Amino acid sequence: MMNNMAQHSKEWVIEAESELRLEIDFNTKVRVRLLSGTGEIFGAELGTGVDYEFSGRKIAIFTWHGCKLLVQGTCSVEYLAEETPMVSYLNTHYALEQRRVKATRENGHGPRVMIVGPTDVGKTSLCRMLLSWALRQDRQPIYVDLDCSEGSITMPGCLTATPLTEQIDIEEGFGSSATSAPTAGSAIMPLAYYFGYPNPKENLKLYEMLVSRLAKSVSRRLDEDEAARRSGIVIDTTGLIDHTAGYDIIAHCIKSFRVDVIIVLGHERLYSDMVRLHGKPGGGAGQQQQQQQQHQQGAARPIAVMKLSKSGGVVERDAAFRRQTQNQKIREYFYGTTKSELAPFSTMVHFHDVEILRVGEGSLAPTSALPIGEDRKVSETHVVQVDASGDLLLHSVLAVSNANQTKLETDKDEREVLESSLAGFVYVSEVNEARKRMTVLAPCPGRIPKRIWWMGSLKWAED
Amino acid sequence: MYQQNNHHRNHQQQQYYQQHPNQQHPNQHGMAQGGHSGAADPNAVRQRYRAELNTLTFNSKPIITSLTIAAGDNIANAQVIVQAVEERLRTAPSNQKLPTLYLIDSIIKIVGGPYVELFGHNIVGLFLDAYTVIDPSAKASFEKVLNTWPNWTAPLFPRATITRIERALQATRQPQSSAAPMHSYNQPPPPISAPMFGSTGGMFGVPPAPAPAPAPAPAPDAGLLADIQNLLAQKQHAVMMNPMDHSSVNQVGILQQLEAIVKSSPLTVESASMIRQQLGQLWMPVGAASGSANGPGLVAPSPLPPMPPMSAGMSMPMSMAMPGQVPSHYSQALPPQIPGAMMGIPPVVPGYSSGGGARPPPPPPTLVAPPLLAGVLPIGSMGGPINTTSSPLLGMAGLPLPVAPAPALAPSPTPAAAALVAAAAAAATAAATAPPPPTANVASNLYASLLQSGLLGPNGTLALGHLTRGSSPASSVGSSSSANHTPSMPSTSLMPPSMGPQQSMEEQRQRTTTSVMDLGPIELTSQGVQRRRPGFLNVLYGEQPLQCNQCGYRIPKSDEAQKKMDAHLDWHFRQNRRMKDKAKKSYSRSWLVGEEDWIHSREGDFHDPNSQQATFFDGTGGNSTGAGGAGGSATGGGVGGSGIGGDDAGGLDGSGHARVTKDDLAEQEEMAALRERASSEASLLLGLCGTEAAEMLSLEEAHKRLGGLSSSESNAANQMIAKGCSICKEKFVKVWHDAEEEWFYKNTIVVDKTIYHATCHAEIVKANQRSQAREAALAAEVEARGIAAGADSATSSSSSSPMGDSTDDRRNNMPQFEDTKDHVMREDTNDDGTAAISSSLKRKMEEDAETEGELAIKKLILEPST
Repeated sequence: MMNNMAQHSKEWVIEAESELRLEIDFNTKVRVRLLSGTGEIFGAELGTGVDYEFSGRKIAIFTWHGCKLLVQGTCSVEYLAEETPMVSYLNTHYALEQRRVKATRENGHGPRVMIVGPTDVGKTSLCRMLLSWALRQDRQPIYVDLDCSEGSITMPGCLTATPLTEQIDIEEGFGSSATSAPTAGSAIMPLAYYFGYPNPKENLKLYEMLVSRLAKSVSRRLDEDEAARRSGIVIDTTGLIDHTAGYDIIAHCIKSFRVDVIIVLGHERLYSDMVRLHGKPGGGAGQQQQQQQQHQQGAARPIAVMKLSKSGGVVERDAAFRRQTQNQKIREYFYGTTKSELAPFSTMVHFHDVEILRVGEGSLAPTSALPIGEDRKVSETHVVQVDASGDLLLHSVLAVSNANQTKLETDKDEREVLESSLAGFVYVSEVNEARKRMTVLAPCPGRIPKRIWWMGSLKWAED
Repeated sequence: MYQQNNHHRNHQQQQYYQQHPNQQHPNQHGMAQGGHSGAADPNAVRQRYRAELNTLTFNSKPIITSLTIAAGDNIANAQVIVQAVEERLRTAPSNQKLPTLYLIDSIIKIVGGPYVELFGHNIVGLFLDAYTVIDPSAKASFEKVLNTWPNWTAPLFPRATITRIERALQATRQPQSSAAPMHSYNQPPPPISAPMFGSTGGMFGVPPAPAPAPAPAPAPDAGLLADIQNLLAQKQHAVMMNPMDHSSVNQVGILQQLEAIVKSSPLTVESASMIRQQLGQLWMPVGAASGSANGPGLVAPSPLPPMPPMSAGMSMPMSMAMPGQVPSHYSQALPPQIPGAMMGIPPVVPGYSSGGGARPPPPPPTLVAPPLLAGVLPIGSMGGPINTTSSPLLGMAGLPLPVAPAPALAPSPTPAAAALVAAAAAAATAAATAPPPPTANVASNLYASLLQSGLLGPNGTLALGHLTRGSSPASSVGSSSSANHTPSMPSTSLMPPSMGPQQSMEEQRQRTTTSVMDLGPIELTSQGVQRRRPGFLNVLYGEQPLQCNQCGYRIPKSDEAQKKMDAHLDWHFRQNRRMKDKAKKSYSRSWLVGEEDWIHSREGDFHDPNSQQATFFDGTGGNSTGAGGAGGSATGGGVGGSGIGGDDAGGLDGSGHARVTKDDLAEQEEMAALRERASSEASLLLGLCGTEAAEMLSLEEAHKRLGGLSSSESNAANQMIAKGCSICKEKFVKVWHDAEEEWFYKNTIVVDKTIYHATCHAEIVKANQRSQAREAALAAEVEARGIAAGADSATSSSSSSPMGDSTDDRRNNMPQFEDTKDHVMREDTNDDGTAAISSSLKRKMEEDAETEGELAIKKLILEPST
């Protein structure tokens, strides 16, 4: 990486309740140091005099009390902004926190918050703030990430749930799953299920199936984990908000996770629709609608629906940026960050030793190609075996399933395999057809724990 | 869920008020059905099972049978059930522990299966904890049960487990020296019985000092005397801690009198037992606070059956009071019932910073109406495990008595509270006369004076219990200082104990702004969150919080906060230490855990190195990370062929190994330059560089490498360091390494147990090798065999490159410094010159040692500071 920090350094004085927004390219590094005052990045407070290093990030350093910052390095964009929705965000946190206090007092459960909105309105950032603030008040919330396009915790294409107990690392964001390396942040242990596509629409049935499964696991954990139960969950969603699939997915998530707070970010129409469909604003009196909506679950608490405006600092991330973020994510999975480098492990695997699967019709012949009168037997959640030979697999990132099944004969087998959580990822760096072997990069040395691997749409060109 | 819980709580509440266990009609049928319904939801199972468990208050075969069947039906949720039962055994009042043990016995014998193993995890601690607090007859029953385990038709617990219990029991039967050691209140007592309890000994917050199974009152006096002396010692300690505590001073005087009396005159059985009871109240001062609810009359020290004090916590484990609200009794900081939480380990109360509290000791039998326990717990808990010393003879009445901080009884120094106490004293003296003293013994007269002195009796505690009831849990944060400070005024009870009243007001104000509830209700609506509320920032940014200087972590000031901050800093320290080790190890990402593991583990568990494939943290026990794994796989453990994998690992491992931290960069460069200059000794230096930052030695490391591992050698090592470089005689420069949080000696290496400046050493080695080369060349000319010799030496030194060695060493968990030493020694054998230098230097040093002996004293500061 370029070492350009020495060349450029600038001191910023930031007024109370405004923020410094920085956009940092992937190939540069920028260091930020708080000289005086207070500052926070997505809710996590900065230490005074501590250097934080960023690369390929778009961040905002907000201050409630005013502060002086030293920024070393060149940012592609840097400017001060005075208007932020932070007061309403923080109040939202307080309102949630009051629910947690109440939950603690009444032996109930903490708020289950779902954040919905179109893409690029700052959903993930808001999640981070709400979670960081909760952590700062000694809560242990669970972060559920249903946004399969991004994969804040593991990799794109995953649905994850992560119990948070320690402050979110400022530099790494949500960080990544546990490593053997020491990091300044917390080692988090997500539960991940593999969907395999960036967009839920690619396989709605599978997506909903996995959401249900994830919700079930989370709720089982909440039953046992008292601290987490009191703290509640925060759910990040995809930006899919169209009338058909989008709303269905939202409704499904609400039901599965028994969401009781819906935060609509930066979208008026969606807000009014959510109010109409899922509750009354205020979370108080909407009994009638509640009953209609929730008679099946018998939810005790009406759903509070509220809207928040998006921050002016939110930038649209173009496809290239997303792609780069994705690549960075994959790289970091294997090699870690510059701060905490990791040593992955390359190993040879015989084709016979693993079973590489993929889901759905993608790999099937079109219906028209079937003999007349023949019905397509396969469903959206049909599991297909991938032929390891050929260059289909080359440069793919495969997900290693925790499934133990040996055969995939019945629908039940398939379902079980589909609903198994993930152990991690491997990257196929070479395929040797003649020897029927492939070379894969695994995150850590030793045996690759399971033999069922998923293939999704994730490819990566290792640089 | 709410409904059920409330109901559940009410049910328990009733249970407390009804003093007759037999009157509690366990609606077993309903419960049992619930238990049998086979619902897969573990929480539902747990709740139902717990509810039914709570009916097991006496030895009832039908209930036990029903619970056993329920356990059998819910075998899928065995873990949940085991947790519930274990919890029950821990928390049940001492007279209800036996039925619970019978239940365990019944489950493992009749249902068996996973239960045997699951119960096996904790049985030793559970059994012994329970055993120490129950009365002798129950003890006998416990032993009977235990005796049936080894030879049961089906194998139950492993023999080793049972042996551990048996040995511990045996130990408790042996007479025990009367005086339990006194401890600082906020420290758990050292695990006296650790050897017997094996590794669990420490975990269970010290099983109470083994009590001799007391034969009913053959020699009450001796035991009583011991108790008095214990108490006396405790009081004296309190006085030492806080000389201003006049009441403790008084109490010490009275206790001394009492001791003299007991020593000199024989007591009747009744009077002895009365004294004991009074003493008992003294041991658990706040526990006696029942008076505040039921009126002083109820505190009559007649031997009431002990009541279930703890189960209140079971339905409302996490409740906490918020400041600014008058908490109900139950909303006090009852300890969370974290499944599997060990006794005596203060469970972390997540969420509310002030909600810390230790699990109270195994059911303190009190004369207390349950509500007041709310008051008891926070004070008694003292932020740390309580000393649960069940004193042998106090235990005779079946009452294990928690050693609660006696000073809490002390009348408040403030006039207002004093008046209260006085008033209460008047009432209480009347009450105290109610129970007819059986004999007009000297001792019985003492009660009056004891009562009046505020040492014991209901009065002091009455005031106290009354007042603490309203206090916020924040105030109950205990520490040794809180023990000495009487929380008998509402305002004082709201402040961290060490502070004066004025500060406390300040503190209180701050507290009120730092609770999120003080902002007033915030509606979760789009409009509700727009308004800026006064003081709303204080919730996150308290007025004067403690803040970590390494990250932004902050926490409002309080005694507990300090502890948390300490823990936080410790965490940083460990983390940084690990970062420091980064250069010499390589790390990898771990595989994710499976669904079931994820559901059942807590974050802390993941930090357990054993739960990870790759080792997690430092410690010599688990250094196998990269190399170990690579080695394992190279021997054929991989999914596929791993020949290539093994190779790759070597390469990657190497790069990880050579990686340096930024902080070491400068030194590394310096070193590299040096290496270039003295290319002839490259292999030697490389060997040194192979270990982490060879030219920067942490104090500890230097010490170790000099052989200061044993205490006898430790001084020698210190002296050697103090004398400075063995070559140039200059002292070593000590620098504080921020990132590594340790003191380092700059430019320092240890070779063959001798300490040098790295540069000095390199120079000498270089000079020596030059001369040696010259000699060799000479010899070559003479003998014409020089080339072969040179080549020999070259190969031998290059073959001992650090890479292979260190990999091996790490696999074998060899400490790094040994690696160096080994390596250098090998060099020595290859290279006579180096050896010669070392030994000549050593000799020189020995001479210097005498002349510079006094310098060493001055340089004691160089010792590793802790």
